[in-house]
Amino acid sequence: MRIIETHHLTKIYTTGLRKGNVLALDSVSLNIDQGEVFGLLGPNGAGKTTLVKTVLGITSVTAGEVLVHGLPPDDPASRQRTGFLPENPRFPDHLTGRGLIRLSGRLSGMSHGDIEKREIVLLELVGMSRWADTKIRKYSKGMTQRIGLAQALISDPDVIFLDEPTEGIDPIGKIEVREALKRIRDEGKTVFLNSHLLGEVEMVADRVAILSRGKLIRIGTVDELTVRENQYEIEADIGNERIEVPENIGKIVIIKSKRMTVTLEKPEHVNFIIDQLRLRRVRIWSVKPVRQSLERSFLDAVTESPEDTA
Amino acid sequence: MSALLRDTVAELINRKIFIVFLVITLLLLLMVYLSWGIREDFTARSGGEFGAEELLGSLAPWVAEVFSRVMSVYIFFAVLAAAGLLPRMLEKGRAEFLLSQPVSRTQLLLGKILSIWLVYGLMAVICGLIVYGVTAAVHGVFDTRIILLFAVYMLEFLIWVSVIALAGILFGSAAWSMTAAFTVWLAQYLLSYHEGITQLASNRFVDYAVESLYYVIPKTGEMGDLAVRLAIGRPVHSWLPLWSSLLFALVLFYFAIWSFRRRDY
Repeated sequence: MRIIETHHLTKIYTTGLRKGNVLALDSVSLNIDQGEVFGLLGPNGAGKTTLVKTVLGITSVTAGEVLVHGLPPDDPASRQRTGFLPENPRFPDHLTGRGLIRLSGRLSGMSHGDIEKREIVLLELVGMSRWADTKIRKYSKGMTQRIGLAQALISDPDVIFLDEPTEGIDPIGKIEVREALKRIRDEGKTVFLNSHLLGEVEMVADRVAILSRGKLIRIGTVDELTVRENQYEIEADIGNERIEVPENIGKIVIIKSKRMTVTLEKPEHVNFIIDQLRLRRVRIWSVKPVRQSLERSFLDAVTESPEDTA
Repeated sequence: MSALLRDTVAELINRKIFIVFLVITLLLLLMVYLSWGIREDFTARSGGEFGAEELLGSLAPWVAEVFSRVMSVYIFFAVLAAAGLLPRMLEKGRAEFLLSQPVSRTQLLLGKILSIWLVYGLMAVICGLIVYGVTAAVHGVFDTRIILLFAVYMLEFLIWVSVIALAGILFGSAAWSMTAAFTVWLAQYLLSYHEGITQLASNRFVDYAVESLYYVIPKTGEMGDLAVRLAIGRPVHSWLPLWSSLLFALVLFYFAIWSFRRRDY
């Protein structure tokens, strides 16, 4: 089931007359399905937060379309089954953690009884039961993020948006948030994770999109994004055998006694290499596409994307 | 609405604003205590000709006048205390939390405005009623019509809330909200002398501008006079100050909602 759809979503911020307009999102089209953990990556200022805000109706759309549960974001019902943890949240500091969860629940139209039942579960989930009755202003950054996660989940939403959930928190706090995220994913909820921390996204996301200068430049599973195009690693007993690859097929990048890496013009040319090895009676152990880290893929994608001006 | 009302009450308690109102109330009660001897003095000076009825007739207008001033003080502090509430609600990081809830922007803003009006306005009225109750008990001048005075001041506070709401949305700053409220207060004060100004100016354009502004800007000073008249049962010659001021508030609320619905946060 499709939860979020954007079609050619464009957002232009109108600033002062002399500064001109800022193109924050440039015709972004993507779909997110039920139960998916979707990671949105991009450098600072890429438009990640703007994308989340337009989907939630916090920021208006200049052109294109956004649908959440099939409804436009200016319809409050589209947010009935969504939860949101903003970037650098500044929750009402006169409230306690419990008070914040209750406020969020009441604004979502929940009954007092339902809120009370759910808050116990959520405080446990985010590990904040002990500090539930402490004022938010006394919380550390990690505690604020965790209570923010709990308030985002109070109405048992189908989809939860997390904007830089581990930003500025210590490694232990990050692990705690990540653990909570995994538990949310295991409950079958759709998670829209907005982050510039690649390792974090790589660890939890099913699918990843890379946004740069407002443009969606890559989208796919982590495997799809990290695979090096037409590059294969072949594990075989090559020994001293001399393997030659014609220029129109590709070239050998590295060759060692047990391993060879080739770059091919087309993926199907891998059969030619295999045939060559078999002809020489070389035992082949494995043939697999070369992978790189998500960080490398991200950097490649961002540096390859053309410069645009609004 | 109830969620925002509870939140506004929690914010009021947490910010300890009520302590300011408590201190003012205690000071006023001290003044009431110090005025204990007035009644005996008044009766003695009249040579015993004044009984309870006469005393009520003579003191009631004076008490209503004093309470009109007392309520102005409470409303002034309520405006000061409430000026920062909307800008704080719309701070980065907090606005996103509220706007991501399944509530329309109109509901959200109206809910907050109504909460501010009810919570801070009622706090001012309750404090005023406490002081009036004690004064009435001490001097025997209790008159149920004083409720009308408090009702008019609740409406006056609504007008100030409309000013701080629009300024809060437009500028996102408590300082600007207070400045806007002060500007409107100054304008209405100057325009209460509109007849004198037009006589002095002897210029048709100035006449027209001043008279137009007089009708547009809320007339909170004149609302105070109207409140006193209602409280002592004197006839009200014109309801213009009340309805034109409320109309002003409605227009400001409309623009506040319109602006809030269009803004990106």
